[in-house]
Amino acid sequence: MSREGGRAMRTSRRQFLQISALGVAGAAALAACGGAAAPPTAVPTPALVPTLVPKAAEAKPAAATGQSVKLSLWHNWGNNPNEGGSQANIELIEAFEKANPGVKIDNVFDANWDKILTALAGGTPPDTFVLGAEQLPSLADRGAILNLDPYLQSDKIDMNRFFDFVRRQTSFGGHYYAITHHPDIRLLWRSADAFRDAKLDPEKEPKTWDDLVSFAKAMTKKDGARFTRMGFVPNWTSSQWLPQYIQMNGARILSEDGKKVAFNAPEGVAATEWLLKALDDLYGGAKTVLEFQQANTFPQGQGVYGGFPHDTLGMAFYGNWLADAVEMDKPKMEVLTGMFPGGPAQAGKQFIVGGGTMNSIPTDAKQKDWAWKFLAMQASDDGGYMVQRIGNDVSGIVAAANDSRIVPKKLNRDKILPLFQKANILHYAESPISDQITEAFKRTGDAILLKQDTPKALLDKTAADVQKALDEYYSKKK
Amino acid sequence: VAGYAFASPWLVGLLMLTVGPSISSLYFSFTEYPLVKPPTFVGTHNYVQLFTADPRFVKAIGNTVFLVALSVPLNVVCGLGIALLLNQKLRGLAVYRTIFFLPSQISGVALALLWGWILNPQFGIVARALGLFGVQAPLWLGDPDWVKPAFVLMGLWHVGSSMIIWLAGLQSIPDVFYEAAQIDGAGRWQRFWRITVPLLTPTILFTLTTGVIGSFQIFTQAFVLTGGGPNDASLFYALYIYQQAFLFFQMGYAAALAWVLFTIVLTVTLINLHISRSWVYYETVKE
Repeated sequence: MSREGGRAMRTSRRQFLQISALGVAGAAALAACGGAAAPPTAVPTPALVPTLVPKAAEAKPAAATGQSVKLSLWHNWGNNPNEGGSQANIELIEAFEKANPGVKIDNVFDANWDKILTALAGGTPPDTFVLGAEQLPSLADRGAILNLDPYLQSDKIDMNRFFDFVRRQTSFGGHYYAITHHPDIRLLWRSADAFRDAKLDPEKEPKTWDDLVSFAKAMTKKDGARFTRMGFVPNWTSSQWLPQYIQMNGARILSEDGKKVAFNAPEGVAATEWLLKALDDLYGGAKTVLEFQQANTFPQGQGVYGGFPHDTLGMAFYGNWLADAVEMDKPKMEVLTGMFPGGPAQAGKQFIVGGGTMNSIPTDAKQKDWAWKFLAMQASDDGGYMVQRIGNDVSGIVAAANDSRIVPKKLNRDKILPLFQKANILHYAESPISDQITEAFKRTGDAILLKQDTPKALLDKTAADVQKALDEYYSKKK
Repeated sequence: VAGYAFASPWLVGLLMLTVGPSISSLYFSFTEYPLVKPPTFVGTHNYVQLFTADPRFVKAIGNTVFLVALSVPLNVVCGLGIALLLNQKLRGLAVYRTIFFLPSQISGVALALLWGWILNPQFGIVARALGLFGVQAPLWLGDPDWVKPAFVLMGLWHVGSSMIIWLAGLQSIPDVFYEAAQIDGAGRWQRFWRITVPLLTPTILFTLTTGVIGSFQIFTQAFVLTGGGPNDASLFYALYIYQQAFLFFQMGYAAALAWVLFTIVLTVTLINLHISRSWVYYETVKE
């Protein structure tokens, strides 16, 4: 390089740095602007809500005013004919657009949680989005989603039309924040063939946790050293096993006010000790179960979802959507459904675990009123019918779930539906830090199954960690 | 000026999408930022917290260092080995090179799912291969002792990218050195140690540096296959950052974690570059 070139280069570098500095300053300024547009810092109190939330009636018909309205609906379902939730949305949107000329809904598929959170943080959220029940408390308590009470009141929507557990999971702190899309439950499934094969009466339900073990022993089959059927695998559930078993033995996850941990109570410890012993007695430990799971992979998946219709399990504690796998793989399979028995400390009681998906409206949504109109349609009996017409989902509205156009036509619907009325616990902690608690349960569940310490020691340690996180959250909230 | 005008789309992208967010994240690391509410300044609280009261931070660092320590040297050795094999004068060499390079072009999620099958302890190809020798495959992703070695194995899938760099390095070594050594009676092994390795030291430095930086950021495979389990045995650092930011609503803490990672990677890289002065040979003549 010549001297001339070198000098020219030095000058250019200076210019380059100046341009860069300007750019960085611009970027920082833009970032700061983004922060200013963040959602309000406090949960709207009931007294403030009417001023924050215009009444639904104020949304004037788009066609009458000659305006066109564009709404956005985000959900993480793919545009796939097999995804009932996704197809239901297509149907709901068509009906809504037909009833409201001039309104168009942008149906955004595959909008995962990260995308939704990022949009909420950036102040550019969708007008409504689908979330899991366990995600509602986090958003509601941080003021990111709208309190729907004023809309419900002005439109006179009677929430008693919904299943009890649906009302519980769409609300937080005494206010409603969501309208159910479709709820789900976890129940006890029994394979009639596996029962008969083991000379058991399929109509006879297990009434205790000991029954579960003895029935499972009878149904378990081996070919040499290799298991060909496991009667029942207690830790194979469609949610974290730990919070469910703890509750079914009478312990709470958190105290009534949600500020103290309660899952390491003696009943919680006893539940985990029982599960560990059951796995040892039945199969020689969790490792064998994992090997069995890996060996039994079917087109629909591993574990219960793939295996139950293929006779590799006699009983399963799993979600109502197992009906889909049965319908796809073995439509003529005779299945029986029932409630899960309570643990030794809850003798005589039975449980159904609730969960589900729902729609909320972000606090920063641009078309709140129209978004509400869409949710109000979803909350109607017709909306409930549309939600369940295509897939095997069950509406959260009691009347819609019992719709005669649906019930006789859906596989095993008559056996599953009554159990929705009986759902009495949820599979997650109703807490603003529910995700942190779920993650802690996942780790602790692994550690218990791997026998890295005694269940009591592991639960106590997790309880201390979760309590610390709760204390931090509530002290910051003050 | 014309040059900058032509480069401006890239410059704007760099400033808006990399430099700007980096500066923002530095600020966020000193805040309590629950994502859906505005950040509030908390000083060095996040840094104090992670260094004094976060056992999962230590666990994530330990897991990631384990992966880096095993994965980077293994990739160097395998990449160089394959490049040496493909640096011969053979028929159809381009086809072989393509075959070895192609796997590295598979996207992260697809690769993770593929490895889920490869490592299936019952019918995966690795289990079957081990079975031929009477060895029972471990549970890999389900076993806390084997899950990290499983990710080290997965890392070898990308050896095709470094192979290209090794090949370029090998082909830049003039044949005259080998010819002269051969005339002087040097055998294959001596030629490799005395000529190939010294002249490849700049390539070794490059692959080591980029390998360390890349391995510290492993995310996709762990996110898809294990979610950090069992019991945090595969909780790698980037996954922990993600959990803090998007699961626990602690973007400020996640930003602090990211800056600590940046500092670690920068320090390791600077040490690497400093030490390299004593073992990397450049063919430039010092004035």
